[in-house]
Amino acid sequence: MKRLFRGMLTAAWVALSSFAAHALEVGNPAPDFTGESTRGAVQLSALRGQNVVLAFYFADFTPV
Amino acid sequence: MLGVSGDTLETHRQFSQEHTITFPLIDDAAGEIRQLFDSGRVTYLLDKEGIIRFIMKGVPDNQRLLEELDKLP
Repeated sequence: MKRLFRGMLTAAWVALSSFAAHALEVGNPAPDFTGESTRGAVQLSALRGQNVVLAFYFADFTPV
Repeated sequence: MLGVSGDTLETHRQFSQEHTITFPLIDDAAGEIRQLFDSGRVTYLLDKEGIIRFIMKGVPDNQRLLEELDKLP
């Protein structure tokens, strides 16, 4: 039983770790991406030469 | 300044219009951009080379972000 529990904990840890696989730190290059935006197509790497504020938020029309 | 959320372009357009947002809001309804970055409410400051220079998790403190932005070369 204890062993099973430990196995489950390990499995949960592995699952969580894979979630955090993209944990980014200061000094890392920001992953490049392209996307459609309200101002047309955007490619992050095309903004080299400018400082960029990149804000992820949950949803429009929400207080956070 | 770029905003990314799981909203569609249509919702982004309404939101931009209502709040007079002039910077691009990116449609990430598929979650493809999000999965490259950290989860949750998070704001990154990138320098001119595309390197992450500051990360703010949670609801952004705009004053602090502006101060950090000023420090970037």
